[in-house]
Amino acid sequence: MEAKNSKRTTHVPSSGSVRRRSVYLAVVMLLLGLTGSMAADSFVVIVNEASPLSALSKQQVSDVFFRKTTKWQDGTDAVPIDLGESSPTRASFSKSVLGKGVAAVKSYWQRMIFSGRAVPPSEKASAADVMSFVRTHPGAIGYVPQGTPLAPGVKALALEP
Amino acid sequence: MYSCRPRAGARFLSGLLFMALSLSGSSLIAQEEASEEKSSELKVTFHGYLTQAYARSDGHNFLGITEDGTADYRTAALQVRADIRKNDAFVVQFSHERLGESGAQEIKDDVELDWIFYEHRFGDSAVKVGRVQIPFGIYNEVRDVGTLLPFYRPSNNFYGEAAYSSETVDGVVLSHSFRLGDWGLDADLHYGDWKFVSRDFFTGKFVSNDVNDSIGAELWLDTPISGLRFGAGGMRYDIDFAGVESKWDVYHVSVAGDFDRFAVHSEYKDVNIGSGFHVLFDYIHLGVNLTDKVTLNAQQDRFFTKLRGTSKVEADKDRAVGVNYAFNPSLILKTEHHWDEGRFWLEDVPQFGPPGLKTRYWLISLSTSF
Repeated sequence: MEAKNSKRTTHVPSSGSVRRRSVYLAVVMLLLGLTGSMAADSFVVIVNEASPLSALSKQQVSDVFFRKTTKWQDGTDAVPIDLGESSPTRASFSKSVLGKGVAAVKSYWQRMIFSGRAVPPSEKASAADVMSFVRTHPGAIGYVPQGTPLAPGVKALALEP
Repeated sequence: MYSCRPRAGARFLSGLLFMALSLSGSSLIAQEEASEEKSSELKVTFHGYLTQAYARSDGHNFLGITEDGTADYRTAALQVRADIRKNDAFVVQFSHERLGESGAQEIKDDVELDWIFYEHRFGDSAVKVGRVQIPFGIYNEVRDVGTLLPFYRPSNNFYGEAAYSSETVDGVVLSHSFRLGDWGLDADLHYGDWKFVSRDFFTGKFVSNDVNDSIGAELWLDTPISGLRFGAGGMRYDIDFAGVESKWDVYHVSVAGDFDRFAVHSEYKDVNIGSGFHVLFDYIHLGVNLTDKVTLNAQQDRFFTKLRGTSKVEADKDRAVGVNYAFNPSLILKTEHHWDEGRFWLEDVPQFGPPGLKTRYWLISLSTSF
């Protein structure tokens, strides 16, 4: 019995078995949509320069964008601002922070709208518009493409996993 | 057993409408007098949806779908939402629905008031007063929004336009959301009256029934697995059904999994209509996103009756497959093929008769929303 167990623990899977497992793993990951979340973030989350915030977790940012959190800790209204539906930056933000694709998020908001519960965050056409909005609204939070020079009055927020 | 949007309570609604308009009117005046920053708080948004279908059956009249085919099959709505202040909103939605050659058309107006309510939020809680949607199951609040549904309509037996529960209530709905780390719990309570449009078992005609003192609760648990939710709820109400006043109970359990590549939805509902008689509904839907635009859907949807001490009897079984093409999330083309077994939804044959009557029907529809 011991010998059998020992043999089992030192067993090296055949290349066919490894290939099969890899295929199963790939299928499961594909089905769960995990592959997209491995891509590096290509956006920067920004807030008003006067905000006391310096870092937030992805879950906290997600809660604000889904309007599950409506106020910051200091009592300021949390005002999320999105880029347009077709923006690649929005796709990246959506996948990485909200955990869903843009279409799924859109469905979520349609459900909220037509059940009379809430309306989605406003959308801005460009990163400049997002920065302009965040600069003029103390509780606003948005995101812009990675590498965008930040305008005066806004600051980047560290995003924790 | 057919649909259930409240149609009466006109006096209550006109009173409410007057109150709401007075309220929003006074708010508007107040807003005009307020500072520029203050007046910017009023936000009015318009939303709407439309699903237009062409439907055809292989013989029988299935809920207005006939062998000749019909394009007189659609749902549409227009919603106006006024966020008066940060925590106060006034919402009204009008709808239009056509069901081809269905007798239900005789008791439906071309345009109906879907809902009209005033909402006040305080923290994680909200109260809505007026004609308000009842949170019940996965699709109750959005049962006609084509861009959110895998097929033309959600489970016909569970939601049907029927199934002994209502889309809305003339009364009040209280809601509260709890956050427990990665878990979330949404709780809703409702109280009020509604009208219940059902199909007479003997004549097959559509009739209206009064439901009073409906009280119910709904719970939805959000799990840490994104997209996976579990729901349960129930309601109890007094009903005047076929001239007999009685108290009915409705319970349901639901599971919804909406993931990137696939979706699964399943619900079970038990309606206790008294004297040991139960009406049971269940369905399961599976959807696979073959590409970003193409989704393959399959569903089995059943309806049973059960008398205490006896086995349940299948009254209807509808199996369906469909393919959806999403031009974008707001514009979706659907094709679907249904195999129905039963006579309950057939409008050209008596409801009682030999079981196993089979009907096939097809729908092609285009849904849009904004």
